[in-house]
Amino acid sequence: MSKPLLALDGVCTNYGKIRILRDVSLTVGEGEVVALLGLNGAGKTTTMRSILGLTPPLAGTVKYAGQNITGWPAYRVARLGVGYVPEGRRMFKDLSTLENLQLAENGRGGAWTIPRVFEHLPKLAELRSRKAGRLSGGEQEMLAIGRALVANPHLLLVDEPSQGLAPLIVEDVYRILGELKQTGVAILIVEQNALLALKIADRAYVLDSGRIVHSGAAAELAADRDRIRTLMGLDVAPTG
Amino acid sequence: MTARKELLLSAAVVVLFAFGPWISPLMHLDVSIVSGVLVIAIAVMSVNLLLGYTGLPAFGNAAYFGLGSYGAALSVKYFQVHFAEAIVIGTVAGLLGGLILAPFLLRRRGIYFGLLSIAFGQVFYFIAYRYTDVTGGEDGMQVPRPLFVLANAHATVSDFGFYYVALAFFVIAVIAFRTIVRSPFGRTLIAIRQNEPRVRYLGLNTDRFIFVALLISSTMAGLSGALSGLLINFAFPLQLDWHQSGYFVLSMILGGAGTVWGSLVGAFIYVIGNDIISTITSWWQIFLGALFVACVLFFPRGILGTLQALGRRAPQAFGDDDDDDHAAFDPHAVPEAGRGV
Repeated sequence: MSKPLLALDGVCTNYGKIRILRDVSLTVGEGEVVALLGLNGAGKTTTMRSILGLTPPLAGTVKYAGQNITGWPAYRVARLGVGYVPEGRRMFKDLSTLENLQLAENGRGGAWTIPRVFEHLPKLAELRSRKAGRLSGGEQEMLAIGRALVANPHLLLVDEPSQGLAPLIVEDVYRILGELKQTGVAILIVEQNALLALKIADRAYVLDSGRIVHSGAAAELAADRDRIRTLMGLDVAPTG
Repeated sequence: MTARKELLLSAAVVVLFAFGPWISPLMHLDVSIVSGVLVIAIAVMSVNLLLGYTGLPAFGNAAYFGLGSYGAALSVKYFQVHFAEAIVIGTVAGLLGGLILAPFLLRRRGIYFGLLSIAFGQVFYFIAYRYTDVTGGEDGMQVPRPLFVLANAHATVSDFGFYYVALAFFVIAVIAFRTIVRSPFGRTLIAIRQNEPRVRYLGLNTDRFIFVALLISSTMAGLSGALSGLLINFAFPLQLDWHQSGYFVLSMILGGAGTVWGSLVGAFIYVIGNDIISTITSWWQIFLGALFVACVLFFPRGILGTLQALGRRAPQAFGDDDDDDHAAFDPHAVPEAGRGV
């Protein structure tokens, strides 16, 4: 593997006195899609927040493109080219679709512009002047992805993209993530629905109680249902 | 509301106020009271920008307001400046107050921002209160209204003339305010109100936006204070007091937080109500308080905010997706869930 774009080394993060992440180390290479799996409360979202500086790690380092960004404020991390599609989408509900996109445009330049996002996600173009609060869940997920794209990220952090969405729309979302992968954007994807994420991922990590308990090729893990069952402590329903 | 309708309504309000000196006697009001409405509306707007749009509890804007008033009064008393200069000096005094306090206020959010605002405001209050030799202390300082001087001509500014000065500044303030809140900058402030961490991970340094908002707000409050001091020919410590800040906040919520014209409605009720009821009973604050409680309980969007929401219920008339309502500061609003960014 080439030099990693993102590298976490021994990251420990607390919420108050409660330790959430224990010595988490992981890497994401250029253009690589990595799945971060685990149960509710395993520390998946906290890992993302630690990368973004929203909950700065107590120990360990976060490196992006070789630069130590541990504990940087979120806006500086974002400007380096780290996009975030948060869990539950989190739009600015009082702003229109277009305004939500404009807010995220940061003038770094790059292939993704608002017209190009509209071209790829035509549904958003139709809804450009609608308040984000009035969009459906699926439309909001599209907008969340569009919002992350107009910043032209090299690395996209995607948190639970399938959560609360109808199966057809989940398929749509994953299709778009797959297209993004083709364009060379590196993606770290957090998902409870393991099989779904493993379909597009190159590699996978499994978190349990704040520790990495497994890492390896995605295809290998996907093929080994028993393994997933033991690692994640639950039955994995076959999908698709 | 469509842009055309909004323009027509706004123009109608301004035209109505242009006839203020003739209308106010019909309501048994002195024209200077209506000047007071226009002047205070600018201060209420300054609170609206921070609290209504950005979600920062601006509980200390009287500091800038009082600095404006004292800036104008002191410069007239000690440096014999003229009318226009006094307004400029007062406004700049408000801006300077904002420049000094903003770096400290920026460090906190939420209720702590509000408490810090009050605390810093009280510092200015006590300076005016204690520094009797210069400021006249508790008694305040009376200063005659300075002459208006342009080139070699000079004129006294009558209450009638002052009214149009106040109206002109109000119109400028409203246009500036509307332009600001409609701009990408203003949209970002709204986004910060809704969820600041979210704005940060999109790559925007929210501290900078809040800093600029604080400067705009303190400048507006300073202007309002300068005009207010010149209107009543008087500067006194209570103009800097946190009670005064409270009245601005109250007026904003009454009128409609996060609306452009709500500040005028709130200032109108506060100033006129204060004037009328206080001639009847010295317990006028009870009525204002009751009105405020009723407002928060029954129409938390304020008078104008509620009217706008009602207007939108008739979809054939207004309903479209690009309406410009921002249900702003709503005491009943459920905050967005915990860790969600």
